[in-house]
Amino acid sequence: MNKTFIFILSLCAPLTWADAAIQNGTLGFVVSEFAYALGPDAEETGACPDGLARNLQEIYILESGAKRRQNESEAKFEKRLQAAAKALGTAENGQDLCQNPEAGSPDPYFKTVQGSGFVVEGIDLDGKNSPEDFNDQAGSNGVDNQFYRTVGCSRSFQSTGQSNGFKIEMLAGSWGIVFELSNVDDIYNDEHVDVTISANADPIQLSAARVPLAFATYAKDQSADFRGSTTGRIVAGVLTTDPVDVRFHSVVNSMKLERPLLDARLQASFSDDGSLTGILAGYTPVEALYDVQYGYRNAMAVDGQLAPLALRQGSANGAAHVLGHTCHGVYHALYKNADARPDPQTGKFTAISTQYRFSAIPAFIVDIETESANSGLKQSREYGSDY
Amino acid sequence: MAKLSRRSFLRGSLQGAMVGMGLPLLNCFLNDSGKAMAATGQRIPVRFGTWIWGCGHIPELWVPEQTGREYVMPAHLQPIERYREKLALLSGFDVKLDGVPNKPHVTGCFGLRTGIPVPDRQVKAPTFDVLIADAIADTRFRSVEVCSAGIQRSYSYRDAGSPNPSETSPLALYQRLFGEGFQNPNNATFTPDPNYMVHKSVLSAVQEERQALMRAVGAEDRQRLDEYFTSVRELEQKLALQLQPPAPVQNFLLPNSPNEAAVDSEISNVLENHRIMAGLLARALQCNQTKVFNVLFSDTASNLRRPGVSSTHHTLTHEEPVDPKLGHQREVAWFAQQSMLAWRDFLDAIDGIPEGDGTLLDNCLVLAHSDCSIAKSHAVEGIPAMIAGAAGGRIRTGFHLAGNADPITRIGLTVQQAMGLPVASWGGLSMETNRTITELLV
Repeated sequence: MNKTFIFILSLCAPLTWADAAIQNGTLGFVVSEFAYALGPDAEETGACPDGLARNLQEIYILESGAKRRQNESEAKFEKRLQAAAKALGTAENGQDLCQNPEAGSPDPYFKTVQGSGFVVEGIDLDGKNSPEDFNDQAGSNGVDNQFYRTVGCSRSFQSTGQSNGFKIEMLAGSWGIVFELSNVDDIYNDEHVDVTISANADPIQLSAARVPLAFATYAKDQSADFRGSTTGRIVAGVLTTDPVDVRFHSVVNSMKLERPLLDARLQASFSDDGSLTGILAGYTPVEALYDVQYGYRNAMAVDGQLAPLALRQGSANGAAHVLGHTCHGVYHALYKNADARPDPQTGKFTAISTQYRFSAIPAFIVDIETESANSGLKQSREYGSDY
Repeated sequence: MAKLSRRSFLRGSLQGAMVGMGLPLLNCFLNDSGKAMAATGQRIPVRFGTWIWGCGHIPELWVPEQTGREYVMPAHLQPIERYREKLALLSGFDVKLDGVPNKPHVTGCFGLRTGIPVPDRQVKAPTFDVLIADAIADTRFRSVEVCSAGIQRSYSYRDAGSPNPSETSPLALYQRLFGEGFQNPNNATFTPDPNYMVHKSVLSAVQEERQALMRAVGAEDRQRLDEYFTSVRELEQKLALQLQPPAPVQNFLLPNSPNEAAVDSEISNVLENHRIMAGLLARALQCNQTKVFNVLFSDTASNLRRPGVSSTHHTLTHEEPVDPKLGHQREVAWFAQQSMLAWRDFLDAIDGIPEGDGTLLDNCLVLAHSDCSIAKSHAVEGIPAMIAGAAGGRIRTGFHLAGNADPITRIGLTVQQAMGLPVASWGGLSMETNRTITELLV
């Protein structure tokens, strides 16, 4: 009797999350946390000796006689500030500088990170140790993260700022990312696995406590533009993939945008709880990064048409004001710090190293035209064609 | 003399026009409980309203840790502690986006008010306040919209793209409610406005032709004409009301005209204007000028600001760093608290008017809500809401209920049912629900 009991236990005990998650050599994940991989705050590193970047009103107020004048009403002062900011945000040819940042000159008030002798999140993308590379946790030089260099002196990218919280739209179901690993023989050591990195076509499923649910089912985006297939390997529980171009969706102020990443690769660890945590890194074309993060020049409305100019322009200028930067300042700084994809004619770099930290939880990934609530809304006759 | 009733008035003629003189509301018109008119059994009217504040809350300062009746009001609810028995706090209810892009400060508000999230201002109208007004409004104004933050903004929509406009100035609100066309219900004399009489007679002629036309056309055209003439009927109804003596009202005092005030978004002006407008609205509800109202204390992207500071409540939610000691944005929290102080002012105005055996608030159902929960992330999960008033005994209050991520349409469905609408389910897709919040209904 006792022997039988012991035998049953020995059959059940070895079950792990991987046994539950691997289906015919395939593992799926949905990204549950996603943000730019950055360095410490400017206050900690001292890497912004000239202070943080300024918005247009903050630049104007530095001018002689710009401060509030005696007997000037608060309302008039506010109007003067707004008018001055609008003038500063307009190119000599009359163009709005958020929609046409190339029409402006580099902004001396857009401060960027100086030096590199400190630890920054990310991985070595090019296998070289360049002067502008940062250190990793192990103390080695080689972390390529020029996006952090560009935004590290912006107040909205400090740890108390707002710009790195864009996952909220992901958790609201507006966009998402899924990974699919196939030909997996051993979750801890496998010299060859196939990996697909795709946009998620379904809204993420959350618990009542609004925590992403494991083992929900998601469909890959059906557009080839939004999925990248590559190979990789698992060594001591760390997955590393080979470079592949990927592209995700993004949403800002209800406008739809795209977030491409060239030569993207994963370096991530499997945890005992079944999650996959690490870095997704690659290079983003400067023009695309400017659009998805700052300018929204190519933003689409939900009807698939280019969003109204007033919405794109207003959103970009409004964001620049509240987040504390100038559009032309960040645009030129992105090009100044770009470190990949040289233009064949000019030799000027056109893409910038960009790294994201993420966590992903087990999920079932399917490759079908989704029938999610989201697609139902799109198809529903009741709600018309404006979706 | 014939037996007196609430409808009794002295008849006569004035310059050839029939007129009547109303009687004040006497105790003999009420039943023993003071809740209904003795002669007809008709209850004191139940009014419905919404009260909106922008940019959500600081969860740790607003959401009670306990549910049920024995909950402790966190710091930001302290101003309304004295109303706890007349309030039902509703936390943790979500607008489910179904993948619809979240238009900050818009999608959450309209998701709550229409049951369908939209990525822009193409509202899937009507908002539920309009549905309720259509069902219960038999008053001079179908609804009254007010915004105290100095901007012309409203979240009450009959059709997409056409919000019911709000009054932004206390003086303009006074003139609209108690100026031209207002008949004091307790005046000793009643004189029909000759202009209304002329319009009425014109419409009467139209009515005969309309009926003849309706008989002459086919079913499809008849349906189209019927839709078209609905607006005419609404006008007729309004005129008919104006040509009858208004029902007398207990304890009604015609408010004085307010002084011209600064109408802007500076917080002290907004609070003062809101107090005045709440008082005017309360009097309008008392004397049955309207049964439905929508108050916008601050816009959903709140433009409130301190004196001498250009940053608004909304911009601060994006600009202000989180205070590491507090764990939240200090200035944003201050504005969030001001919103609850204003809500207390509103309750003071409504609850300060005796009516029947209670107060005007006891005969109201007021749904207060915001557009988001945490403004800096525009989160539409856990949008704070609360119900004030007993809706004439139809609503149970005095507790905190956690929604546990249920669709926020449960609130909209329940208030519609409480106001007597025969609606079994409400909302679209993930937001569609037939789950009444039974804890709220008596």
